[in-house]
Amino acid sequence: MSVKHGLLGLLARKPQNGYELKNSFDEIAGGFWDVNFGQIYSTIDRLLKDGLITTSSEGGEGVERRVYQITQKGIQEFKDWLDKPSAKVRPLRDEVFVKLAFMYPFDKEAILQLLAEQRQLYLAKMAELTRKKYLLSRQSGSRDMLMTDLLLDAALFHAEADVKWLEHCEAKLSEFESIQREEALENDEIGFDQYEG
Amino acid sequence: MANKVEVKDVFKTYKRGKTGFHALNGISLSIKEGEFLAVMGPSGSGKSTLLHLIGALDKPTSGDVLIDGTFLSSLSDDALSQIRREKVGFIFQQFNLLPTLTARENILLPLKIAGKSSRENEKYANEIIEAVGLTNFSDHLPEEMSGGQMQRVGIARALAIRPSIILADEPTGNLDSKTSEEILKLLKDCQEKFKQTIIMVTHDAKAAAYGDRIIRLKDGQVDEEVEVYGANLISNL
Repeated sequence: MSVKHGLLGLLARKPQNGYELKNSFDEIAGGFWDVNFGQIYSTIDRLLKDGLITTSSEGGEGVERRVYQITQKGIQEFKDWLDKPSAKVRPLRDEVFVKLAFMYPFDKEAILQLLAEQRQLYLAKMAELTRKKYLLSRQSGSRDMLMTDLLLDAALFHAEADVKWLEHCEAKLSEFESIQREEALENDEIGFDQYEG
Repeated sequence: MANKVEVKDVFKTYKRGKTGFHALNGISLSIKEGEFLAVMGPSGSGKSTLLHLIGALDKPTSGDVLIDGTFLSSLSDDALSQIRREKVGFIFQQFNLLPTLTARENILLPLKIAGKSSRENEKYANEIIEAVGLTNFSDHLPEEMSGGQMQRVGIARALAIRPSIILADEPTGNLDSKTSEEILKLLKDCQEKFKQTIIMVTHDAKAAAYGDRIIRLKDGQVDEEVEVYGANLISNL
């Protein structure tokens, strides 16, 4: 998913100006995918350059606004994108993972603390997303709301996986440490070198 | 807001051979009236034991549990079963429905046992059956229902006695994710509409996220606590 295809999809529904596009985007993305005006306008520039959208102005002097329409080429591009499954698996570039890799084996307690705090942050975030879902469920249903609900679900499933992974890390690191310690004791040498392995 | 439940320095030790196993290890905890508390933690961390003690299904080895300011240790067995019948609604992972009774009969059972089968209570039960979406299934036997429908019966049965506390032990443990979501929404509705205090044990982070507060037990103690930002958001609407 990219801002590009998000904007093409919104313009396929109806022509809109930049301000409306930002609002429509926020409405669908449920406020948890933050896209700023800078990203919206730089994407618009690219879409214009590629001939996927055109522009015209509306309003009088002083309050003139540029309205964007999708072109036939843009519709084709959007449909092609829509019909194809995403081949990319989410890349593993988790900041926590990088920290983990650099921290280990220096400070086991600090790592476990980091993992616990990270897990708590994810849980708090999940609770926040769940609250949004619950509020949404109390309004009358529409197609856009269903889509927002599904996006919130996606965020929740991903966060859930992150929480599980963090718990898994904790369990494995703790087990690994205790095995290392036992081995070190057996060799009657407890030294930092023993933990590198 | 007043504390609905207080757990004070509670130990629960089970005998295992010659040594004892401390399921709860000096745990203290306060749960406010109307709060939705999610209790997480690995297997054997004491989650279910805690739930059983709060529900007066079992007694602590030492320490005490208070419900509405009453020390449970000060009560006779009769008074304890009265608390179970009148104040606490239980929801189980395995639903625990009686197979020969229809959904409606299962839901009305706690009222019958409590000797409270009145026209008014039956009317209330009908409202609950409608609220949990079981109107068309009230004459079905458990074997004729899906897991989600059976858990709806489980929730309706817990609600029938109008408990002020709902204790749920892995209520979505046997359900798929979509049905789980419906059941959790129903629990959240109970908190919102009936102002019930809910304590739910779960190992599932997505379920726990419905709580106003999430605690994590480890070795029979509270290891971590996550306050949820803006927990009162919904009540303030």
